Amino acid sequence: MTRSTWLWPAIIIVSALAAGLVNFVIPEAVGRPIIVMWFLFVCPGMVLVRFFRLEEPISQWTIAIALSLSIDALVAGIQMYAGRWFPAGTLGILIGFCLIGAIIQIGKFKTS
Amino acid sequence: MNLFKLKYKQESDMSLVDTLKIGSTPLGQQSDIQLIDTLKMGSIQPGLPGLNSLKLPKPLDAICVLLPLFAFFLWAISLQHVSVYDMNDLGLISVLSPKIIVALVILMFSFVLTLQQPQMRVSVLALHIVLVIIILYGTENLIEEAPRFAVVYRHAGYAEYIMRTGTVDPNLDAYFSWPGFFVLSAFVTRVAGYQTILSYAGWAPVFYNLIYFGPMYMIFTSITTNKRLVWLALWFFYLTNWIAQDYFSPQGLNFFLYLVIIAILLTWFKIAPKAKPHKRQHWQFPTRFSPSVSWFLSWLRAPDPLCLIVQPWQRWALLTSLIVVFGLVVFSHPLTPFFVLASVTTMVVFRRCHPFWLPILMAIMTGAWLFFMTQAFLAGHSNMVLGNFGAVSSNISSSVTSRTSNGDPQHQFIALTRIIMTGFIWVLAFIGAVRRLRKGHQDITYILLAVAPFPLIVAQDYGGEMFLRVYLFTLPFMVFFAAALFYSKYRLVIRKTSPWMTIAIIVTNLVLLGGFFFTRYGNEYMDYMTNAEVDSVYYLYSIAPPNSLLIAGWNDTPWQYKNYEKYTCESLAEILPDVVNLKVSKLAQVISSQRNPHIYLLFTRGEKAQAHLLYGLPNDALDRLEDAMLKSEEFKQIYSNRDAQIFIFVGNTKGGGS
Repeated sequence: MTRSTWLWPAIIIVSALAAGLVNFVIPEAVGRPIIVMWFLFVCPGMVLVRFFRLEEPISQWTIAIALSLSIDALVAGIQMYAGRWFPAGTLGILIGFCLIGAIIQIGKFKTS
Repeated sequence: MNLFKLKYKQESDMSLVDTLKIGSTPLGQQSDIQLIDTLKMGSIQPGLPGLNSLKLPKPLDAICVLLPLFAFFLWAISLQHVSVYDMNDLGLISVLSPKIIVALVILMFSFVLTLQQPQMRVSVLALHIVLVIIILYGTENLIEEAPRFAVVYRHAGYAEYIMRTGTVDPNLDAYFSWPGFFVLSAFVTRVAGYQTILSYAGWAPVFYNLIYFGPMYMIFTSITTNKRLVWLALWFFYLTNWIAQDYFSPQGLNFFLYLVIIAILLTWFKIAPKAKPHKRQHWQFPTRFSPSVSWFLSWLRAPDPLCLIVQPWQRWALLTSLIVVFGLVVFSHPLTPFFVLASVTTMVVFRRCHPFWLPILMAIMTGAWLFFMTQAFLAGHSNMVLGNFGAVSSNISSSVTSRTSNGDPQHQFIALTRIIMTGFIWVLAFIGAVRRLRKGHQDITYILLAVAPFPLIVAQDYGGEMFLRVYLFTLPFMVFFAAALFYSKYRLVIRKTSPWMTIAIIVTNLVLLGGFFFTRYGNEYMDYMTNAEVDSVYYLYSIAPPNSLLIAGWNDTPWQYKNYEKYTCESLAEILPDVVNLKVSKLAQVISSQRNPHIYLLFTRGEKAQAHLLYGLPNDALDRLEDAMLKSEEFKQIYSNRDAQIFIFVGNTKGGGS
């Protein structure tokens, strides 16, 4: 595994765990908005975009941000229309999604 | 081919089209396909050049880094000298410290200097772009006391409603029929630990303009490998994005999503020459056409120069991403899906991209949302939606001419400046496009995208804003062609820059920057909010019982940020527009007819500014109304501060308080 293959999965895992930590364990943490917004605006999309194997970093970032915002809004929207508005639960879903995606990536790169 | 690759690596700023032309190989033939293969193999990346820009600094390189930092420092220390209370009808320019203007001029000179260096310094150019975004789009938030724009407070109300109730009510407001942005806002606000979006909404313009960079870079690099052209186009965009749709709003986000969709299509879904159907490729135009028509038709069919080919599974992944992103567009804004549809349909119809079924799927998604999710809105607003269809002159008039003929003379000057600056960038774009055309560039896709949004003017006036939206959605392509005016020659690399070209770029930048001060900041007198205004609304909500009728002296009130459904909010501009010419007793009579036991009237600085600027009322018109109300028995003043006064209507009870 090269640095580029494990770096982003590692960042995503750390970000997901940090977002969970500041929401569920230490909600008074000073950096909570920064950590949560970083996670929500970048990680759900980046975990998918990494599978696309795009070479260009700007393309990766652009699609990752657009996908992240879309996934966040669609998951929260589906929960709202289903009568299950629960922001902490939505965050939990997104954390789980990112963790699974990042772990699959690590496993995939290990085997390849 | 190897020779070509070598050349490309050596001269990162040359154009692929240039190279093909120099090689005397017509586009669309074998070398073109080989070129695509080269791109596919990853030998050529049409993105950022490598890290060769991070070498040890030479004196000029050091200047190119120090100048923008100095400009930023100058701007930062000058902010404290700006007092928004001294602003006049010309907006923010009337109170901006000259040092801030000097800082921007230094930044602009530094950018042009960096751009014209023989060796491209991408990281330094990126530094300039980031700084200009912070300065141009962050200044208002840093010098003003509260988030600007009254509508931002209403948007806070939508998000607060969702946070509090966990649902939306389409009968309350049209935006609840397209709630995607507010659902996202409510979710982010809650998990970030904030109580309201107002805690961070002021930074939306900076955030949006930063994220616009990525898709625009992708769009520009999909048409040219000339990095100077790309960076100048990006710079022009930030000097011309005065449209002010980048506040905390669904349209600000949706413009980003629009750019991403177009960027994906232009980067990976353009139709490569070899992919064109065999039959069509050999189809000949009838000889009865005149040479010019034949030339036009050939040009219309010419393949795009840069096609990046990826594996089929990657294409499906990208396509799925695009559809997910469009899902948010449909879910969050009534107008943007139609701009996306117009652009994508145009590209597919003119065979500039595939798949052919994409606009059909997008139309189905848009139609399904309209049919199933917006019935409450459409039932009561069908005339508003379809009433202006086909009324082109009326739609243009409400967007353009009425803005320059109504209101205060200084505001009319601002409106006229906006029209002139729009014309200026469009004329530059037209000349730039013609110049590229004459040089043999195949820009048909980008010309189509530059004109695709215009037909939407036929459909709607969108509250007098359709022309502004068309300007915004065409802007990325217009600035590209405007920048192409300065970089269209066939040159593999710039060894020695023409001083005349440098002067021309500087003069153009000065015009755009000068215009920006008026076009972007010209409405600031009525857009900014003070703490006193916001405090008055806080006080109003603290005393007004639910179901009260709240009446603003005019529009532009920072209210409805909470308990959206619990109060009825009206404005004298709507229920009694000629109130300043009437006696207070008439006002009392109209208010009394509202049959509400709790009626409050709120007058704020922003309302008075808007009545004066947009409606041309005398500066003291609402002040005189307030004086008359103070003397009347029907109204009682219950709150007053520097920028706001609150009255309660006691006409029904003669002395009953709150």
